[in-house]
Amino acid sequence: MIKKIILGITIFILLAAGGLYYWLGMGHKTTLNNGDATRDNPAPQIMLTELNGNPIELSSLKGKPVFMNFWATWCPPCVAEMPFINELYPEYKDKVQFVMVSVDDSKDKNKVVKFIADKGFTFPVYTAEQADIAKAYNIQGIPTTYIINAKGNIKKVHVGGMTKSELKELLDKAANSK
Amino acid sequence: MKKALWFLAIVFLVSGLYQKDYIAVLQKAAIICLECVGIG
Amino acid sequence: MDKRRIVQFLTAFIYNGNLPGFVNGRIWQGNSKQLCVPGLNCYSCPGALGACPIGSLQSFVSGVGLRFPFYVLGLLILFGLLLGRLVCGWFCPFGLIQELLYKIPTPKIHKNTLTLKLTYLKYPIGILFIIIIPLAFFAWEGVGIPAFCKFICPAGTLEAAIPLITLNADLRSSLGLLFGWKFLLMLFTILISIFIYRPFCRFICPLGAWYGIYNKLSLFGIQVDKVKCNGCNHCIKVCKMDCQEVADRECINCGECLKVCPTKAISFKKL
Repeated sequence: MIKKIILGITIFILLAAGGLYYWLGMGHKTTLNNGDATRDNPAPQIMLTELNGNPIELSSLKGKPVFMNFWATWCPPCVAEMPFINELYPEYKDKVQFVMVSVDDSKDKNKVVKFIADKGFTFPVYTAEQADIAKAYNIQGIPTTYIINAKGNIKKVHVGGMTKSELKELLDKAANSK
Repeated sequence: MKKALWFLAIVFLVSGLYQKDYIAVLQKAAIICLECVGIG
Repeated sequence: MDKRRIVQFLTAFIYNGNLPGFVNGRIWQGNSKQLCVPGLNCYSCPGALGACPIGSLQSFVSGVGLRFPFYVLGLLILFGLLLGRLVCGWFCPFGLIQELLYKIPTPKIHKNTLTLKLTYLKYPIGILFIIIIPLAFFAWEGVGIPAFCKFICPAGTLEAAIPLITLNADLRSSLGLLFGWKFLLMLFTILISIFIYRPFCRFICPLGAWYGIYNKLSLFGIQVDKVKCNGCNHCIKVCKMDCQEVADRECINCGECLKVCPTKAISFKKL
């Protein structure tokens, strides 16, 4: 009886492992299944606010490729990748526009300002209404990074945190994107 | 004991509603930190 | 199908009513997520219309300012006072899933002195992963992490991570060791649920641990008329949980004991 159970468990684990391997390997779709904020489509317009309170439209940043990262102070993997982004910023800021958008609640604006000041980050930070971002970009999870080319079209979407080398690779692609 | 807990529940709920805690709950449930739910 | 099973399925549908989410892989982002549901239902599940109370509790430690979770705690106390572990037996989809797995005909490992001891695990696990680890990370790194959601919750992996990853190719590229660990944990939980009744509820679930405290205090739930009771203990013998007496902290209010009581001393509280 025990032998049957052990055999059953072993078969189950092998099947599950096989299934997992197959399922993770399948699917080469790279587009988000979500309307307009998909690859090769124009990046949806949103209203951003600089930390000093100036409103700015995303479209006004056209002309250079854009590295747009959605993050929040309460999101540990977002916070974890920010020092890497900060380290790469001086090297890439002339070739790529950095747009770091916080999805913190608008009443937590001071928290965002203090957070950036405490950490000593130098890249440009913006805030926006979470509801607007969710609607326009259909963000479900953070961190999410968009690479938008100089013409204003989305070239790449990355969901999840990144290592410094992954960030560098993405920024190189952005700098060379057409 | 039961009465104290009922009192506590009401005080906490009223405080939470006054502080607009439910907005924080909505925010983290509507845009999820992926790694926080084990996707990473 | 008995009444309780029907309520369990209905609950699962209501908590996860965003059915289009299961087709397009998108989570619900509407205002209903301001409210926590009483059971363990990950708010990252594409269908989820409400927020998970455990997830929401931990989210108050994630962020650059610590806030005392008045609202979520208030809701948790309210749910406890109203329902106690009636939530576990009737209003928790993950409890339903474990029960359905247990129906698979195999030899079973029944409750014993070891399982009774294991039921105490829930308390240190809850305190460690919901309070201590998040606060420790807050102290070290300035941002707390929702450690229970991140490292343990198999309900989240099954109900949320798996559907999201299946339906969103772009999420798959960011999968690493963490998901690997959680996937294995989920698989293990599913596996042992076939042989052991509700193992997650009995040994791990911090929500069950919390509601258990309220079992005897709650407005609704199971109760024993001590006058009618003749001490035969048929109730405890038929109980699949680790109850030492009816409606103690391990009782999920399923009502199986009610069916076998010879003196009809057991009943559900009515208003």
